[in-house]
Amino acid sequence: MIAIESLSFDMPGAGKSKRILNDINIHVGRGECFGLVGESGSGKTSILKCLAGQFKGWEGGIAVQGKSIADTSLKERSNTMQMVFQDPYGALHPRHTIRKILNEPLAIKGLPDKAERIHKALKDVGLDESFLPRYPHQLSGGQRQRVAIARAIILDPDIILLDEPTSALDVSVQAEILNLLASLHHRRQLTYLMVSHDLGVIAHLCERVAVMKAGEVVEVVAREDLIEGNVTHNYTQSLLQHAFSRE
Amino acid sequence: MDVLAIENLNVTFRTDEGIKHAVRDVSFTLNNEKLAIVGESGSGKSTVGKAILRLNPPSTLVTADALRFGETDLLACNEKAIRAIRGQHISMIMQDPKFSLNPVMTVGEQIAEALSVHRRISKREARLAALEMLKEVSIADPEHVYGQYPHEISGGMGQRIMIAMMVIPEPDIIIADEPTSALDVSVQQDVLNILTRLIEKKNISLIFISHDLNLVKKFCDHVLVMYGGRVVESIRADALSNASHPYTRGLMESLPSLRHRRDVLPVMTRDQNWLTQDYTP
Ligand SMILES: Nc1ncnc2c1ncn2[C@@H]1O[C@H](COP(=O)(O)OP(=O)(O)OP(=O)(O)O)[C@@H](O)[C@H]1O
Ligand SMILES: Nc1ncnc2c1ncn2[C@@H]1O[C@H](COP(=O)(O)OP(=O)(O)OP(=O)(O)O)[C@@H](O)[C@H]1O
Ligand SMILES: [Mg+2]
Ligand SMILES: [Mg+2]
Repeated sequence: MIAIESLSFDMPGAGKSKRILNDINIHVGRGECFGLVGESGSGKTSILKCLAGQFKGWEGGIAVQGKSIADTSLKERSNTMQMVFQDPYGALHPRHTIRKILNEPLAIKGLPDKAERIHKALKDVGLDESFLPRYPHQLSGGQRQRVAIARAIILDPDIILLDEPTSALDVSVQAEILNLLASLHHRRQLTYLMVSHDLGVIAHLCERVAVMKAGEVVEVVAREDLIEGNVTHNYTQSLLQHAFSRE
Repeated sequence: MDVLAIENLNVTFRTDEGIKHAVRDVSFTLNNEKLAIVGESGSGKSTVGKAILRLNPPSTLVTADALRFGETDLLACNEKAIRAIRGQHISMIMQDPKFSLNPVMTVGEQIAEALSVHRRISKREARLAALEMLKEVSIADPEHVYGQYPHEISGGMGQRIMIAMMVIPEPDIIIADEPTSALDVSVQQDVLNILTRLIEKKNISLIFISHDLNLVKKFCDHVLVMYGGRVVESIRADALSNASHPYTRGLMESLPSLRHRRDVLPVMTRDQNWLTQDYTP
């Protein structure tokens, strides 16, 4: 479904450029839920941004459903792939109401039954219609993140790229969103590439996870091995240790 | 004397569709301690934090029987006095870190500027001190990050930079709204250690807004649990596992666990009685 091969990316900067992704190889199967964990600043968001077309000029290959994304337009890409961003503040237009934010993708695609789809998407993320006339700054952090998820699922994509989808949510809403993501995953055969810093969240949802450090994938671990502690890299071991000691 | 005393705080937002009563009769005191506010999304945690510093939008109605910082009545402060309090005595780390940084100035320059204002040091000294602070919050390549703009840094770096900025004025109280929610556990630990060190060294009291129960259980002294705009439980952090309120218990149970994975996480059926009934054992 997603094949990332020898992906490298240099961020152009004043004077010198800086390598932020180095030789990344990740294969995600159809209907798989694949996790990305790793150090803050290690390049997790950057991988998603390369996929979503926000970062250009990378080297290597990225193919989605067998087709190189270098050959697909952004619009085509948005039919198959939607992204939920890490920062729900930047992601929602501050001067648009929630109604407009959810209506926009439907209008662009010219889809019918807009009101019904909006109603359903809101319900799926645990909000009701009283939120529609509000602006993003009138919502709490978690409510905003749920609107962002509603916007991503409203177009029925095949792939959702999720960047820390629950880090702004309290645990009870997190549980609801994780259950929702799990059930959407089963019901609609969705494929996820999900970044999270929480190994509990990753182990809950993902079958495999790539561990990143300083722009590289240091290992790919299956869920069972993660839970059993069968990991090889030092960094993964220390992540696991911290996570277990907190439970 | 309490560092901060709040009695029956109420916050109401005026919106186009009417009145939203977001915080109801919230009372607590803060001493030299780490006080957590946990609770579900939309329960009013950030609104309480902002009300202390009058950071809610101007149309917001804030009332309280008491809102005192030491001997200062915060409700009676004029704009100038409240600004002085924000600058010197109470700092807030906002939930949206990048939002609160100046987008057209590099992060290093912002830290250096804050430092030079506070410590009255030269530009060169401020630069060195800013680099030192970046290193303290576990930023691997401080020289590089110094020259980056807020939109060029990762989510977790933004949170750490905000923490570095907030401790500069050496305030009496820090209100930290979800300061570590985007950090992986090892960096989170580094950041909490930094916060602890600063708090202990400078005698700072902390209000720590979070939804991470495992974290507050270990890190904080006392916990307020908010639900529907009210504080429904006030409990010592180390007693959280034995909480009596059904909402608090539900929160503890909905945590995903590495050790005991469940296919479906338990979710709560919310109950009107939660807001009114007394659940103390
Ligand atoms: N627009 C940009 N311009 C310059 N550098 C950038 C830009 N975006 C990201 N970077 C740099 O690329 C590196 C990787 O950032 P990225 O956001 O991918 O990290 P991350 O793994 O998602 O971290 P976090 O867990 O903190 O969100 C960081 O060093 C960051 O400073
Ligand atoms: N400016 C505003 N105008 C109208 N309603 C608002 C405004 N700001 C917040 N609210 C509402 O007040 C309630 C409390 O919001 P608040 O941001 O305090 O929640 P929170 O507990 O911090 O949640 P989260 O964990 O999601 O950040 C929410 O229902 C929110 O929609
Ligand atoms: Mg990121
Ligand atoms: Mg909040």
